Amino acid sequence: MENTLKVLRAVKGLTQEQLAEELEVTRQTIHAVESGKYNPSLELAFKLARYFDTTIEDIFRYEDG
Amino acid sequence: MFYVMSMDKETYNRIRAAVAALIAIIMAVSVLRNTWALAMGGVLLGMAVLYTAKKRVDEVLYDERTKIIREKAANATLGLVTVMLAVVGIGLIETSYWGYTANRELGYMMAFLANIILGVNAFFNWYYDNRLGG
Repeated sequence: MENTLKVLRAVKGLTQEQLAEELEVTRQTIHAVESGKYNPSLELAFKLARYFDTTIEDIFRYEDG
Repeated sequence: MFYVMSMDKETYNRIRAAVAALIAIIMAVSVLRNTWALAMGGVLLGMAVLYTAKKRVDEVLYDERTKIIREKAANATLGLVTVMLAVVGIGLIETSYWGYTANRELGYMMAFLANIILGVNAFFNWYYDNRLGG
């Protein structure tokens, strides 16, 4: 699953630490999501979408197979 | 009054490693001196220090990803330890029939322990399956 989290974060001028603090997760989790190694829970996906004032589909792109 | 300022995750990890090393040393000394009270005291003191330190960390230590990591590590440990106990246990029972009779008791104990672990795991699988709407 690809995502645009890194771009959205860069637009807001946030570091991984700052975003992690805002969403109450570890910095490693933000890094893992950005690098596509970890797919977040639905709850974290909603939190991200709300934080960046967008939709989950705009952040994450699911591809079959 | 005992007061510790807030700390970051790295400091907490250093304290955790130091406490683990200290507990290991205390355990080793208590085994050598055959004093269970020292071991108990060391473990309790370590737990108290870790609890206090954890309360002072101002960063997030655990989240959904660390939870998944723990679950995966626990599953891998369960699989590995259970298989090892069963295989080594059966091996020891087998060797007891070749003349190493002292191995039989330990072999049965390990094999039974493997069964108990599997039984407890099956019970919790059933319990959480029901609890999570299965």
